[in-house]
Amino acid sequence: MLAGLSAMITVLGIGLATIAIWGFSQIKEEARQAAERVARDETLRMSVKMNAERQSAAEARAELLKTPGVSDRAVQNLVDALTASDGSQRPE
Amino acid sequence: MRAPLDTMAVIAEHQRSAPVDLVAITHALGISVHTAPLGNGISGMLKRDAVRGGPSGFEIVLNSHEPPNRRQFTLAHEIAHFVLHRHLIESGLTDNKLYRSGLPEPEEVQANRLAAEILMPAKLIRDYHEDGLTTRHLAEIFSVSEAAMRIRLDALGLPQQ
Repeated sequence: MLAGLSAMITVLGIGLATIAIWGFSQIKEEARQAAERVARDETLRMSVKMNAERQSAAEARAELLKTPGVSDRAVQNLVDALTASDGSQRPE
Repeated sequence: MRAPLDTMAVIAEHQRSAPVDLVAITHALGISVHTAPLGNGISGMLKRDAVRGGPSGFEIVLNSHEPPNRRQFTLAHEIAHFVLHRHLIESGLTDNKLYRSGLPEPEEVQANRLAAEILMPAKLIRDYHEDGLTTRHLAEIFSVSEAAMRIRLDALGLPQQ
């Protein structure tokens, strides 16, 4: 009787352990898939953001080219004048 | 896909009167702006920063040791880098006193050109000029030096008054 009970408990213990191991591996797999999904979404989000930045910048550069042509020298002279010690009356 | 931000339109929105409000432009573009004591020889930085950056994820830091007119131009220069070159910026760029950041020379010239256009928009200058304002008065309205306004008028082919 005692031997039978002992055998039943052993079988039950092995069964529970098996279920626990199986359950843990399932959770691990789900966690791995979730992490992969998050990484994939983040990569896609970054890629969309970078594409939008690239396109916006390209459009802005095209717009800048439409402004009347001023020589690089004239631009530098203007920068020098704007940044000279008396270059502005703007308040702090 | 999300539509790209029309940054030039955002800037134009803020160029309807002078002086041009650069801080309002940075807010509209989603850039945060701070001043801090930067190293000697550094005028400003444009950084990607998810925490301190504004909604765009970018932050501009100006050297608090520099005079207001330099900080003003530096802000315009960094806005120009954001508008024109942010796709080239990884973690950030640092502009020295000569406005060189490590980007190629043509990119720096583009940034200077746009910075000047932001501060002294050609269309607005032409409008005020048509009203017969003197160079000195124009300089006062745009909060720049008379020397800078003279150069700008000359570049736009407008006579001094």
